[in-house]
Amino acid sequence: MPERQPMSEAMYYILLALRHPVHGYGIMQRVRELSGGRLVLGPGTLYGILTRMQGEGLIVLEGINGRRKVYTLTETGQEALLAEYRRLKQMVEDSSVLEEDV
Amino acid sequence: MLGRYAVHPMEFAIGDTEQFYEKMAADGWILEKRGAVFSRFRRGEPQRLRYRIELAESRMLDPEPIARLSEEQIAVYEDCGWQFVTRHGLIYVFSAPADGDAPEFYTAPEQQAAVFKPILRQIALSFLVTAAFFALYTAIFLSSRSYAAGGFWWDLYYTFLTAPGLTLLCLGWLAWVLFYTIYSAAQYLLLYRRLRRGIPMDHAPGHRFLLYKTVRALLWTLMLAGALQGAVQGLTREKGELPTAAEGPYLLLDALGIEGERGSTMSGLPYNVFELQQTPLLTFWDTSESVLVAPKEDIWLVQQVYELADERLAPGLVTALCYRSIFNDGPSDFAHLSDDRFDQVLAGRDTLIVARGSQVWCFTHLFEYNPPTVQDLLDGVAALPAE
Repeated sequence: MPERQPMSEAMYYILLALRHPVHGYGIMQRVRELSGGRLVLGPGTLYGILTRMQGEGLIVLEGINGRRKVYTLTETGQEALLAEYRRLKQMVEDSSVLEEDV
Repeated sequence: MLGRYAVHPMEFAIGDTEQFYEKMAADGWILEKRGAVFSRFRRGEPQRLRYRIELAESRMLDPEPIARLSEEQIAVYEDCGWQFVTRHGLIYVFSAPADGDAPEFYTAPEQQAAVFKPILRQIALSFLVTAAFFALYTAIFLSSRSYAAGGFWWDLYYTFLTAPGLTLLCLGWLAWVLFYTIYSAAQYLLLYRRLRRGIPMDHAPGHRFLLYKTVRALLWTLMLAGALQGAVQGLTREKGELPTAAEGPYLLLDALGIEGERGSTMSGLPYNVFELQQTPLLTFWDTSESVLVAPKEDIWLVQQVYELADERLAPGLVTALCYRSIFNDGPSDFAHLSDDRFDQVLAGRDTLIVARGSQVWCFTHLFEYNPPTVQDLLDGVAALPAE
């Protein structure tokens, strides 16, 4: 499996929001909650990322509720999210030396 | 007044279009429907609205020829506080109260740039297809000996003289399509680069598009003038049976000493007819005559006579007629005959072209088999009064 590029912040939070199946607008709300209101996704940005992630096999359509499509993580998406989490965590740990300077 | 129509900014002027609809709403004209050129507005209370445009991704070789936003995408936008108003082509228009909290469509300009990429690819594909067709047509043109020798341009010159309005209309339209395609591609490309650099879309740019508007005004005026001239030419055209006495500077077989009853051994061909047309550049007569000199023997003469508005146009017309001749491939197939009564006399296979001042005659006739001879025709033309 080719090495995955680091994720954008928006992509990471969308995957995080999709640990439980949810529709597009629900994703936006969850991302806002998860980021403590710091990250507000535009619907165009969200839709573009959802389309891309579907193409990459990270998420999959679980069902359709009226006009809304409900998405969920695939196994690949789950792995990618965890890999990114570990990478970020490692970066934070590696950066702990900065605490000594404070 | 319940509604009105207004010309909206061009498709590629996305920020200007949003600004235009916002201004209209502030004046109490609320967007109802968008067309190719006009938008329809209904009268309402002046409102402070934000308008945003989303482009449907145009996908190459898509089974659905018209690109559309999915129902789901529209639903997500509406959940965020945007209301879908109307669409035309790739353009989808949404609105929201100016003081509401509907988020911008794109928080990352680079993401928005991705929407433009397929559009640019589509334009590039259109260019390639057009270029391929153009190359094919050029190859076909060049396969003809007369066109390879430059006959195409002389053909165009002839068409311009005899149908200037139609020529201007067609050339104007071609120029317009070319200009619009290049200009809009350049605008999309600029926007794409801006977004790729991380600069968000400007929703109130106030562009004036002076170059675009000037070229548009020029070309559309040209096309309109062309269409009007073409319509006048068509309406004033005279067409009918060839008179027994000439009503213009053309020759009749009778006057050349060939007598017989009008008719033809070949059925279905338009013999003994004449047509008269006038353009600002010339007046021309087109006649086809056939007489039966024996029960199963006919003699025919086809001629076009041109009276030009300026005799300086005559040499060019003569060259063009050489290229247009059915039985010849261009001026090299014609021999120059010397006759002091005329400016030019060119004889080719079954074709004779004569120029005198601002008048030009072009005869098509089977000279090898039947009278009148070339000399008969030259004498006949010489006897016609000069303009």
